[in-house]
Amino acid sequence: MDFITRTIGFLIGLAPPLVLTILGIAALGVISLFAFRFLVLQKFFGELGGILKDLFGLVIPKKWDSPKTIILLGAFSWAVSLLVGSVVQSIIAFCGWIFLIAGVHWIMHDEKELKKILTINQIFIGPWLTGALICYFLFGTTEGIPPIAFVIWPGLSAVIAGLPKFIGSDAATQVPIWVKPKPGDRQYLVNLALINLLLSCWIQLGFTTRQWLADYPTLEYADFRNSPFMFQWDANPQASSRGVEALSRAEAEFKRNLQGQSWSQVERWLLEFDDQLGRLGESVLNQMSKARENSYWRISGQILPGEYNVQLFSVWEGPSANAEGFYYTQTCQISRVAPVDVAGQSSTTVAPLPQVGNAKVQCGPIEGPIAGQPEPRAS
Amino acid sequence: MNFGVLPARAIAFQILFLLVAIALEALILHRRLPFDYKTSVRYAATINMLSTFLGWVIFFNVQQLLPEDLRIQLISFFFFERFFSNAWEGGMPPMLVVTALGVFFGVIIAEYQALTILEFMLETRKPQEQSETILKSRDRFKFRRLEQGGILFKKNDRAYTLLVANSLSFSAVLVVLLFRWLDQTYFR
Repeated sequence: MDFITRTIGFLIGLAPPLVLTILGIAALGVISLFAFRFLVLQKFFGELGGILKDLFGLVIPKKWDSPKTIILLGAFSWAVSLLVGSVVQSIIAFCGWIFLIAGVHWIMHDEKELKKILTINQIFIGPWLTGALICYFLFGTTEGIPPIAFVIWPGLSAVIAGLPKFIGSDAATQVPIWVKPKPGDRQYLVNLALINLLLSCWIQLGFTTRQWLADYPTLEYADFRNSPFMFQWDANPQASSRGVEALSRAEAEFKRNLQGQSWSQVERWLLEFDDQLGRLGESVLNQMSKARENSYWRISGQILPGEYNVQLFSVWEGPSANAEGFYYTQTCQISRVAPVDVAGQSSTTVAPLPQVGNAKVQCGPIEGPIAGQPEPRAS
Repeated sequence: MNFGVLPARAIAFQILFLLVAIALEALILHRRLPFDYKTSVRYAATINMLSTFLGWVIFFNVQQLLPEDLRIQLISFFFFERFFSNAWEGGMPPMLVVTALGVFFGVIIAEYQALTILEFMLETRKPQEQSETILKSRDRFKFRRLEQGGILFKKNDRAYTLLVANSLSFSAVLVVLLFRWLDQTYFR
């Protein structure tokens, strides 16, 4: 017993230094860990600081009257404009745009490296970038950029590019004033303006042809390989879907007129075929989306031999590369069936057809486009 | 935005014709007016671009005012180089000829005005006697045959010079168009 208590006593006596040692090691470990972590963190923050410093060096202006100040003002305006409501937001965003445009224009002249990049063939394209920004600012909407922005862009850029020649400095007071450009510069200015006006005209020409194609959408599917003025970037061999659309609408209208009608009504309809078809074509063209070209689409048809086969056409009579136009065609068969078949229910009893049955219209696939105009077949 | 069909060929042709016209008209300007080579090329470029620009402005406005039947003729010609067969079809070739003549004289008048205004703006107009001496010293050998042949023309006459210059450039453009027509007709 005594031995045990002595041993325990010894062990207890031994414990404090042991605990101390362990604690010491742990503390050392923790401290070294912290120190290591600290070093890592210090290094990390040091690096981060360096990067930030470089970044800020890029962003933060060295002196207050620099283009970066203005661009930052623009960014600041944008950030602030996100915080506030509608009217104030537009006012602040407006100011932000002006700051941004002025800053971008300035920085393109101020930064030598940037200026070097933007100079292509000794022509400094900075004014055209500023012009694009201004056009976007003036005309850009959430829906997109209207044509006027593109048309004005070269002219506006020419004004920006030429403006420095009109500004001189007053000899006495060093204040910038408007001056007449030097005679040597005037030729340059005139040609600069004219070249850009021509560019504007070409852009406008592009939009004019787009307008034409919007008025006559079928023309876009024409063959432009021999066209003197137009060039087709991606060959578009499939012809207009508007002809197909017209014909399928005609088919639907045709079915609405005849499907399920009594046989005598069908025969009467076919007796007045030309009149009825004229009316049908009119209503089809009214159903289609409005375009000026609608008057150049014609729905026609003919009765083929047999009881009763009707061929429908949608004919393009407008301008085309081959001067003949083209057409789509489809053949429909009107057959006499029992009333239940029209409704789509199958009759279990095979009953003989009633003397006066109902009409069922079945149409074949749409063929086309076929060049030329449809030739009437002898019926 | 869909860039399916663009008037790229029209622009390419325009650039080609402008280059041809500027080169030829600069030649004539240099021969008949007291400009050195550089100046005459610059002046030719300016007056040609100005007349082209005016032409486009007129074109854009007129095409909007045209009645629908004529407009479809214009579109058909622009897209497919053929007239569309409607009521106007027979009248189109004479109309085209008259338009082309109008363009020719319109261009001459526009270029004459442009040249006058340009010289006024650049303050480069030389007094009459000085230009005479420049021209005399220059064409000691040129034009002698023409003068002896009895063709009547005044030296240093802008309107006449521009008439000659434009006749030449329009003819050159016609020759280019003729080549294109030959290429389209026989070599395809």
